[in-house]
Amino acid sequence: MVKASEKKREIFDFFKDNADKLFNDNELVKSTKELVSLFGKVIRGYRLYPRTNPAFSRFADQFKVKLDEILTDIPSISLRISTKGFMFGSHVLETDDKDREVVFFLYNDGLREIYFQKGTQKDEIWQLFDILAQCTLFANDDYDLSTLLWDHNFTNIGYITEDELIKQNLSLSNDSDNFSPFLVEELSYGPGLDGIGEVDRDEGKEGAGNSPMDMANSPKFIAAEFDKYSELMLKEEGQIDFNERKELLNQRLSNYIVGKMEMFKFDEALKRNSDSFVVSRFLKELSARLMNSQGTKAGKELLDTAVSLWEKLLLFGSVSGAILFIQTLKTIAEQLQNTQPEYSKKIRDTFSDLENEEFLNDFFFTVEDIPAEEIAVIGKLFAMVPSKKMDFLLSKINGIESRETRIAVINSCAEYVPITDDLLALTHHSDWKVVRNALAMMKDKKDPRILPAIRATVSHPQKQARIEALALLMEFSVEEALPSLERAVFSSARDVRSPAIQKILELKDNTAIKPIINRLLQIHNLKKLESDEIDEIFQMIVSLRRYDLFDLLGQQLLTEDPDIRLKAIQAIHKATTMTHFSKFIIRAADINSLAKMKTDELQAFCKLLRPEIFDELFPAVTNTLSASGSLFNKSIPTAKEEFYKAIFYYRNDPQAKKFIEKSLSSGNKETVKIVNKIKDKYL
Amino acid sequence: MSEELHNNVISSEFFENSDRIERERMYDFTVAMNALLKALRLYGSGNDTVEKNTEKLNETIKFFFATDTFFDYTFNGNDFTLNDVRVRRKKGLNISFEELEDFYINLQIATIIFHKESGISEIVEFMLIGQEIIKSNNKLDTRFAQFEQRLKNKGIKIQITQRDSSGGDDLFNILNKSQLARLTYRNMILDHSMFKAKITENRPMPLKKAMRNIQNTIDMICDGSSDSQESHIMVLASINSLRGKMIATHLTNTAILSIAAGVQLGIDRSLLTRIGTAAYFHDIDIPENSRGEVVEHCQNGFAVLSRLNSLNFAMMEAAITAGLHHTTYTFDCKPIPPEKPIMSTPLGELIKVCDYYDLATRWWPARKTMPMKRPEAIEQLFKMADMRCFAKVTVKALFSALGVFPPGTILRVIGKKQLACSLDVFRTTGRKGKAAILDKNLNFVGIETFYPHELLEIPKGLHFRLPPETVKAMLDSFNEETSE
Repeated sequence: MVKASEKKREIFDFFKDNADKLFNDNELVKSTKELVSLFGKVIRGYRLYPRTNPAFSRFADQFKVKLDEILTDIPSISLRISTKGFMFGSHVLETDDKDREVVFFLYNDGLREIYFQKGTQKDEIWQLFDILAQCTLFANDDYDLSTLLWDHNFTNIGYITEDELIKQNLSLSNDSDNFSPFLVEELSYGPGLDGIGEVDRDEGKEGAGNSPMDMANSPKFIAAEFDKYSELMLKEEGQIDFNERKELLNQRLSNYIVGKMEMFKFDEALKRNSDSFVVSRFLKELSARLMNSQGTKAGKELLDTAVSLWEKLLLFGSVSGAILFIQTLKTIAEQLQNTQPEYSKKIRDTFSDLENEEFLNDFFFTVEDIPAEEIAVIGKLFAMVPSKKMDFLLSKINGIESRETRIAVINSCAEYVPITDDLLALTHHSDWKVVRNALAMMKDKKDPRILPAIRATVSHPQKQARIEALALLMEFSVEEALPSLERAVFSSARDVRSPAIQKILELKDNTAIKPIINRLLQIHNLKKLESDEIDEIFQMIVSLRRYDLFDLLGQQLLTEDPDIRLKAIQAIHKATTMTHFSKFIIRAADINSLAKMKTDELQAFCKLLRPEIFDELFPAVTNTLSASGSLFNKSIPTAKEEFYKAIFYYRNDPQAKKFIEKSLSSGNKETVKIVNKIKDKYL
Repeated sequence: MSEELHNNVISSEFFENSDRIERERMYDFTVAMNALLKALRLYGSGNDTVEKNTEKLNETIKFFFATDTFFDYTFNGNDFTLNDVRVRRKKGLNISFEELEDFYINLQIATIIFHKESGISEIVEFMLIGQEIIKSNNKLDTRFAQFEQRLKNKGIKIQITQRDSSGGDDLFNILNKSQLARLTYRNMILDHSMFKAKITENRPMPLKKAMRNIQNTIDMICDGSSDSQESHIMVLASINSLRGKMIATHLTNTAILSIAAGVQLGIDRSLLTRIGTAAYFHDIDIPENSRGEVVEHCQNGFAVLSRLNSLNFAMMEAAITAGLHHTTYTFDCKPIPPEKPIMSTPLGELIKVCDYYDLATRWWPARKTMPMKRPEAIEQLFKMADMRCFAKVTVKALFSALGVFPPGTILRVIGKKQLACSLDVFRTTGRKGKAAILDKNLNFVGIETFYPHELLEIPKGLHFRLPPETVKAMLDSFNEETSE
């Protein structure tokens, strides 16, 4: 495919020759104006909104639609860029006043014409917008629109720069065949026609051409001598065989021309020595030269560079480079501490930006674009920031939008930033996120000051801070964490106590746990909890198989509070065996207790009556056989019926069978009636 | 410690001129200018807000007069620049400079030059006059002239320059490729002094300007079209020197040779820009009035190039190359064989070879030896590659770019008793290449094409430097060819 850049002249000439005709096409002019105003919108937009703003994608769509519309009848559209505005051929396109600024921006970057060919893709437009954004937002001395457009080498978008144009009147007045930027005088390098030598013979002899004087001042030879030398040159020794000569040259060419394998190897070398290699090679070289050139002109120049370079490196994302330079400068400052104290201090002063909030702000704007390997060492840099600025740093870390980056930054800080009083003090900070970050930065360090700080944070006025502290506390030993955990278990905030309770229940083989849970399961404490929270706790005891705490749970079967009792029943029901709860089930299975239960509770409770406890159960409930309800109180027969239904379920169990038979022969009419009723129903 | 040494070490100039402080002040100044203009527009003179802003501007402007008596303040349509340094907008702050931008645009101003002796009241008056002209709703085209006249009448010393309006008329033609080739070559040489000036003034180097030339050169060497300018540009790269531009010519030639060699190795476009730019700057520290290279330039060259406007890889390559390119050869082109191969960077190695070639074939005023003939220089490069002074692949790349008779080589035509100068890249014996026919006095006679085996190098021990008239005629022949 022929690139747009290669069709430059053709398009340039077409628009130059047909401008008047095209300008009479009102529709075309209207569409072109709209296209131009989109340019303005995009450039102005980049100054106001981030590049990710969806508006730019919409602009690209509109641009493509407009372009396709224009390019239905003509193969390409070319916009001239002049200080008067966008031009269509020699006609100025009357556009919005605001667009004048945009045109000037393009003009100033050396662009004189931009054109689009039929087939321009949205991707190309998008890339063009990206270039505009880059120049609008980060314009610097290293690139401009023209250089970036060249880099992109678009298939369908072309441009003409100021360098490629020559004033028409100039080219007309001078015969274009003779156009040459060089004058003979410019190509001359000294008086006379100097520089013929005869090196092998008469070496060093005046006029031979190889003495310094000859080369510098032009030799004193005259035209006649010149003839002599050129005759010498033309003197051929013997007959030359063309074929032999061709053979020789072919051999030379095949020996010395770069082969495919060499190209491949060089390409491999380039890949191995990527951009990061160049940066690190450069920095190492600079660092080494800096150390070895103190007191020289170059040394001062290098120091000047290094002083500002660490900031540049940072703002361009090379954290490790910046660290290298700060460290190098610090080493130099230390070396000069005694001999040049004033100078040494001045070098140190250049690090003052490390505590300059504005500078740090600028840096944080770039953090999300920094490669992962550079983020990994960011902590080393922050370790150089005075600790009094730690709160600012931590707030800025909170501001990092990407969670991954934020975590990576914190992890790096945790690795490199030392614990200081300033950092410890941040565990009391009013912003819980700052507290969280401070805690995260300290947690992996072996420092005796950390635990008291975390413990204190458990009482932080902000709930989230307490949670964070608690979570961290749990990572420490039980002995260290227990007092705080116990406090947290009885916290008024569920967010705090829930994880604390969970953590405590997870701590097995610890005798200190049971008293805490015992206290928690006191009816007055349970009543302070939310309803589902009680379920959670009871069920956790069962699911975590805390056999040592089962008695505390079983105890709840005997509580006076029917809600809590029901929750205990439901939790115990999920246990794999009732054996551990038999003592409490049996006590609760007393007919008088059962009679007090509401139907749903009663039904749920009776499901706890399982064969594994029958051995103990039946001897203990003999009063059930003889108990009878009053005329108006049906609670005892109801309880009895539910009880027998549960037993009848296991009627094949010998114990159950025996108990049923015993009941039928108990002589209690009510009991016999209930058992028979159930028997009839199920058999 | 000697006084000189002491001065070097103690000087705190660089601390005071550090980028950051300057950037801050420039930003503050721009904010103050914008605020004062706005206040003047809204309230007119003699208002408290105006007074406050005037005072603020007066404070901020002083900084720029600490060392200079005047400074340039430009709006380029996107940014403000102060003495060519861009005023960076602060990220995250939505402070607009709209008032100031409008002032420039509506009055068609490109640059305002503030003078130390002007004083704040004159600046206020300057602004008021400007705003009055804008309000008067005159035609945009006439405002600048009107403003300039009013300033003159009032004796205001602040100067203004108008935006370039030459692009407004349809008076341009597009250059043909050969014209562009020569213009680019010439620009590269002439721009050198501008880059040197920037270094001396400790200002950022407008790298983009160099890059545009490099990019044009790449296009011309490797566009692969029938009117490719490869031969033309390679002949240009054989020019010994434009008058008084010895170093600039050397840098330009090395840049072109590096690109051409890079093309032979199949390096992609972006790396070709990098190698070209790096080569173009590798000897930037050598003074133009120097009569030849001196080895010390490596240390200083590295120092000035490492300033970096931004983290530009080309500049890093340039700095590395500047610092290391003479580790394996002297200025006299004598080898310094290393014990084991030393590599700067792959691109740096390629630049080294091209630097050596141009160095060896150049008629340096201060050198005490004859320059090598071009094919001889290539031979020498291969020999030195065997001594580990160069990577062999890079020498081969240069050879591939130049052919058996590198452009600019003086030859004789076999059996014709005629001198010729190679104007083409002779890469194969099966294709004829162009050569300029020269008379016995090395005057240009015409262009002919030859198979390489019809040409022969001139005898050992003899060497010519082409007369400028001949060089010009040879170069002009490329233009004639395109015109035909």
